[in-house]
Amino acid sequence: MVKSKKFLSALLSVCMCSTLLLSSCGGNSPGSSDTAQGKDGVSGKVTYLTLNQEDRDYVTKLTPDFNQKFPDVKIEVVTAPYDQFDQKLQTMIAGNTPPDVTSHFGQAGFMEYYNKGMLLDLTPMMEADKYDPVAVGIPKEIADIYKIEDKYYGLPLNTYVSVLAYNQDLFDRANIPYPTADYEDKSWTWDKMLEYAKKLTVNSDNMEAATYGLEWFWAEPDMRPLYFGAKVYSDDTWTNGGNPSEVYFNSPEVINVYQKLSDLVFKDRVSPTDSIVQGLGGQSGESFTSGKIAMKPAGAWILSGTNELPFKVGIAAIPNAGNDKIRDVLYVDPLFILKGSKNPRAAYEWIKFNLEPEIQEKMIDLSGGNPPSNMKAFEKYCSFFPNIDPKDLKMVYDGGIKYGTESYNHLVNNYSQIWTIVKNETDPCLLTGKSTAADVAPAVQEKVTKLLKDMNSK
Amino acid sequence: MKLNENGRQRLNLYIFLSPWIIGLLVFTLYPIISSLFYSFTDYNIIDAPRFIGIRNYTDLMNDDLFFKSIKVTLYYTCLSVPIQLILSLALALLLNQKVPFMGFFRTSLYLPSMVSGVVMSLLWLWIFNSDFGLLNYLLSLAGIKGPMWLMDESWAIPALILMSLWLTGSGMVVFLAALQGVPVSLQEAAVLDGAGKWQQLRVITLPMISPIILFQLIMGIIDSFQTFTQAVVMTRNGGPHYATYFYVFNLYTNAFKNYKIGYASALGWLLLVTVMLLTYLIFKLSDKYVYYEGGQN
Repeated sequence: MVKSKKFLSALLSVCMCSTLLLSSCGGNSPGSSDTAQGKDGVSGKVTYLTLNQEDRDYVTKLTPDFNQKFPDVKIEVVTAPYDQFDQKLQTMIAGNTPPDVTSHFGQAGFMEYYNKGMLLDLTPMMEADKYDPVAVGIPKEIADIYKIEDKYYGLPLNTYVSVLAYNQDLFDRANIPYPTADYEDKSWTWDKMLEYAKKLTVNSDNMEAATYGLEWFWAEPDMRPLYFGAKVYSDDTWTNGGNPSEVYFNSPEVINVYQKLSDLVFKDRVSPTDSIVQGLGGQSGESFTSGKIAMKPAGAWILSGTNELPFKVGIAAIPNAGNDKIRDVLYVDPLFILKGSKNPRAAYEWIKFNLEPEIQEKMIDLSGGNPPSNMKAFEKYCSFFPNIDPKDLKMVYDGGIKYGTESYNHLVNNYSQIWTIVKNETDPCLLTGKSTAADVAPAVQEKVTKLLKDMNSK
Repeated sequence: MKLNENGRQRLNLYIFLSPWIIGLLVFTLYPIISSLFYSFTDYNIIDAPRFIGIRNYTDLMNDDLFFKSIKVTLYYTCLSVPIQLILSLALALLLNQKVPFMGFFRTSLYLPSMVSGVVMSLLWLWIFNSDFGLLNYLLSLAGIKGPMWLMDESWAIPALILMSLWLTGSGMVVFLAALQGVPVSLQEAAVLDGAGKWQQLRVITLPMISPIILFQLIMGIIDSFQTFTQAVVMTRNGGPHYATYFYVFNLYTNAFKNYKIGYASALGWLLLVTVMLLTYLIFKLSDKYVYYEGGQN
């Protein structure tokens, strides 16, 4: 038994010090970018930071091919789990050993990196090399996403469009025609989809019998109004480096959208609650695989694994909901070189190598279906999913790129802080249905405006 | 230079202590001092730290999330610490009896404490699922419609407190050790004087283990002030509607998601000072209630 008060005090003081360790992070800013080039100009080590997932760490299998072209370059692949990716990148930078090449594989997006001055301008190397991503096979609208003031800061590795995945078995059972994959089909609208969803929904306390016509938790909460033609950020956001001067969360259009999405779950009951989605997702985390969701819009990564599902899967266009220009969210992962790179020339060659058509085709196989950015490899991608009609996939991709816009988390500066407010303030409306959109909108507007004002004043 | 016996012994002492001393200096003291320095700077890891005086501390006063995180953390602490303390003491008193299979009971109750925080959080995430979870299923058998637990801002913290009771085993083991150190002679003397079970507990057992109760109380407060895993794993970023936006989660978000290392360091130092003051206060107040067998010094 503890008999002395001094002993107890000493023990407690040691315990309290551990509190500080979370916030401490030693190190300096990255050092100068001294090069390690050999006589040919391309040699040395390139560190590539990626995720420790099968669909990302496949690159280790590509390095022998790269070394056939560049035998003097050593590619070192460093991996981190998704939820620790940003910390890993930060600690590598703080430790003065930043990776040469990476992407926004974590929660922070391209614009966050760009605004912090972390990214190297690739344009001089591309000009010296006469490298044109469009000539290589990358669509211009995709290649230009990460081009700012005529300077390339990233070249796209994977282009995910959003697709509307649907369970063909549930459609067959309800005797409803399959939705179209054609974005130009004017009859495929939000109302039509909702009509289908109501017919496909079986509300029952018996979870075995219940099915849901539509799961619509698609895109980040601040991005959802855009699909319906309502904007939340001022137009200057897209030209000034992702810094909105104004937000419109309190506009009637935005309120109407949030209410509509809340009603899907709590009034129309065609969409499952978040808790049911979690339950249906099980260990994989993907609720669509349960076979109880008839339609679900999501990034094209939802196609991975559809080959093994016990039901037939189709993909359709995201229907028209009033915005004639934008109906799709793109998730384009660029490869970029960090400013602290000690070997930018070799890093640049590694990026170019990853975008070659043959390598993009290999990537599709090795990653289990990552979509290419190079359209010369697109045929291979379309044929990768035996259960999905290649013609539908082609149409959905063409339409997705034509009507798509990049996800806001990649384009808005200080996104994490804005997201925290928008997510939490809209929870009572979108997550629990306890408040209306009109109730929550003023607080979102006020708090995001205050945050932007604080950030701009600094 | 040749060392005498005393010198050799002293050298050996420092050689054996050196791994710990180096570890303390490099991995504990240096980060702590660094964080104090960073708390007076604007530092985003990419650019060199820029000295801004006490602005990080003054900015805290205008930060809604800072106050929300304090409120959430205090709410959790005020409920979870006393409940855990009472429950672990009650369990220890029960398991201090001489009954068959006591080893089995003690092991079973301690076992959950050996499960890692993340695994425990994932397990309870399923238990709390309002549509598929075990808890609401059991409530439904009694005709009660269970709440949405972690999805409901009113129920999220009570749910986490309920989950924290799973860990009473670790506190129970400490109390059990303390109870076994209570001199039997005192108990016997009390019995001879006609003291009942309740009186024995009140006037002998509790005073004798009072330093341990104090220790557990302070450790419980420190632990609950540092609640973090649940907000990341179970409620996905402090929701719903900030209901689980704990102080340390706010600190972590600022450091590793918002790239505000200086601001996060200020949060860390404020927490340290608060916990130190609170501990000092509890120590001062405890003078009247805690009995030290070896005296105050």
